[in-house]
Amino acid sequence: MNITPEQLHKILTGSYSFSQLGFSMLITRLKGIYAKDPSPYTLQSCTREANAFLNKYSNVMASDCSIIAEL
Amino acid sequence: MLLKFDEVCDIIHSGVLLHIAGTEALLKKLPKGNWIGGSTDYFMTADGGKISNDSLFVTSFPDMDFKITTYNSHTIKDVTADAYDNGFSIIIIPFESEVHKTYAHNAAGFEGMFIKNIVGWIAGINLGVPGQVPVAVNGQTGVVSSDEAVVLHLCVPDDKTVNIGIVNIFKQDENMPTIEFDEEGFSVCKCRVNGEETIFSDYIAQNSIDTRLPLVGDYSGAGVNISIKTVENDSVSFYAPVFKDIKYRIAKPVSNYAKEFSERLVPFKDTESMFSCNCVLNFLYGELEGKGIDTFHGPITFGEIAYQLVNQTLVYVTILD
Repeated sequence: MNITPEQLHKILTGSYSFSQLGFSMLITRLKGIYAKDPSPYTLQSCTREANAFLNKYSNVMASDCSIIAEL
Repeated sequence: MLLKFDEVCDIIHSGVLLHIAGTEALLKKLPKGNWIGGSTDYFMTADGGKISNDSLFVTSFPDMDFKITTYNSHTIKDVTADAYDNGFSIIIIPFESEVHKTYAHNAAGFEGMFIKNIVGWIAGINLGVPGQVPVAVNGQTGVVSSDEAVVLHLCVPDDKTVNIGIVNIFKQDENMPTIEFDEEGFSVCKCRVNGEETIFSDYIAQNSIDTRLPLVGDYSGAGVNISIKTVENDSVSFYAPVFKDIKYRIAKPVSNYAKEFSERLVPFKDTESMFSCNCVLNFLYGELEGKGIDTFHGPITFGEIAYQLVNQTLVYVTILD
């Protein structure tokens, strides 16, 4: 699956819990980056990084993908 | 598995790729070969927790592409770039070295971190034996270092997925206030308790906080532990840095570490890990010597790495079809 910038914006400005360790840590880092510079450019950059992770690790992301899909 | 020195030498001579944990003295005597090593006297074995200065814990790897690289505090940022696109890297860092501090502070921001899989541990000493030095060893060159990290980069076939996980027997005590820090690092003076600026050591004293319990940081669902090392005057020091923007709480007490681990490890009964390690504070505070944990055996360490440095945590890596 791919995450949209709109979905990621909700994640980075909200309080969501994920089960996959690497994704949880990545989101935490992206939250820090986006909090410092909440620009569309930063959001696009964060979205690319999140999607790179999701595409590579899709088969260990089932429960987290269902959380994202509901956003 | 825990093996005697001569047995380990024989395996090294056979050319098998190995990760080895043992005392500094034994590691220095091993022959050159395809291995990396780090110092510890503490192990979790199939027979339970053990302290040994005459055996080494050996993890072998099947026929995989690999490379062994060493890094100092200036080059450690390259560890993710050097890692295979599909694979995992086992890093061993000497305790309290500059590279330990640099990695702990900056790893989350290394280019490609989380896309690449970095696991590992902080090498230590026997806490009851004076004069020891934490070391990491590059078995290919024979270089034993107290100030460089050694990394075994392993390549995994494209049809496999690497999964790094943690087993954390601690969770945030929801009855305790949130603790945040405006200053980052291995030691702090002030914190904010439920938003109110407080001297952290005063908070610990006034609330009789058990400093064997870690701070648990909320990383978007993952609990990341930071263990308290010392409380001296106005300063509180940790075994890993605390960070801004992370909401911590003191952990809920755990009465029986071995039982808690065993319960948490039930879903992993048939899981075969490529590597795992657990924390010396769990070993000591949980009195795990002689007590068995059903799965995930490996070195007992002075800090664990699951992408970034964590404390009081079991770290494992598995490969999935």
